[in-house]
Amino acid sequence: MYCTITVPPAADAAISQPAAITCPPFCSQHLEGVEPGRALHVSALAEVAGVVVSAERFDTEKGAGDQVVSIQSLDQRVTATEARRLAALLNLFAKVTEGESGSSLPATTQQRLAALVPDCTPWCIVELPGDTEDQTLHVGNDKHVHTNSFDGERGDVAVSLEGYIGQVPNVRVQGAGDTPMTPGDALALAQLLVAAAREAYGLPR
Amino acid sequence: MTAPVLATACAEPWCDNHHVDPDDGLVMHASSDVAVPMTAGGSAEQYVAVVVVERNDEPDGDTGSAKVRLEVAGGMFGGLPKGGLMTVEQALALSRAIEQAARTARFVSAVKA
Repeated sequence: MYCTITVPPAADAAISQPAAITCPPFCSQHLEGVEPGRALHVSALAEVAGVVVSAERFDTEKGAGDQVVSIQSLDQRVTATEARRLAALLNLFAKVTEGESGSSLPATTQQRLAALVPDCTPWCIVELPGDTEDQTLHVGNDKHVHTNSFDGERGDVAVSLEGYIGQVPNVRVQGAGDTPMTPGDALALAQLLVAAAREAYGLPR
Repeated sequence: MTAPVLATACAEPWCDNHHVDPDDGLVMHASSDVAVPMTAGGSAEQYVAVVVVERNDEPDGDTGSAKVRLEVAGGMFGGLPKGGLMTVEQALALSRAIEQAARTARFVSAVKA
């Protein structure tokens, strides 16, 4: 569920520091008296290509309201990379509002955002836990070449990128065990490998 | 199945290893293996990607279609793993091997046509 509440700038006089006891963990600024007897808690605003995302909660005198993720100014085009970052951001806020990761996070919401919103490479579509706790493995989309075996069976070979941020990723070849290909299939696979290598170095394809 | 018999001569310039299958008379041609080392991510597992051109000819002399075989053989598994990680340089080396094999196979097909 999304709401579309526009939050005034932080300099607004109505904004005060969060009251530690009553605020939800994500709250970095809240407004009291927006409506009589109501307080609005807002996380730090995070922005991806003009799309602003935040976690919000309305509290009333009767108790805490539902936590929601707010998406603002979405009426514009975003690139594929920006869309991936936006999806990561939304996923983060969903976890924040569900309280999944609050205790292990840095003290402020801004720090949480800096720590958890990944600065993905353009080829990354999936993030997985790395070999150690502080690592995140980034995996690219599989690109396939269909192959024809001698006996008419069809198979395929997948090529993808995977690696850690700041390092040249590895190229993964899957399904290549004992795979016969027509010359055309083989050339297509070679082109895929070259394209993956160029992508790994950040070169135009 | 009877063991293949090594043929004595082959006219194909790319063929380095061919056999005659005594069961059906097929003549199986294969080029030399081109091996590219691969490393598994985050471990010491070693793989070798092998690229080879193959063609089966009929006993009556009809030539079959040449194909490129890519095998990823390796190391600790002692068989054929589902996949392997390569550095970018290894991937480029593999692509060159595949492309060269494909051009060879395509040339063979063109000659047949």
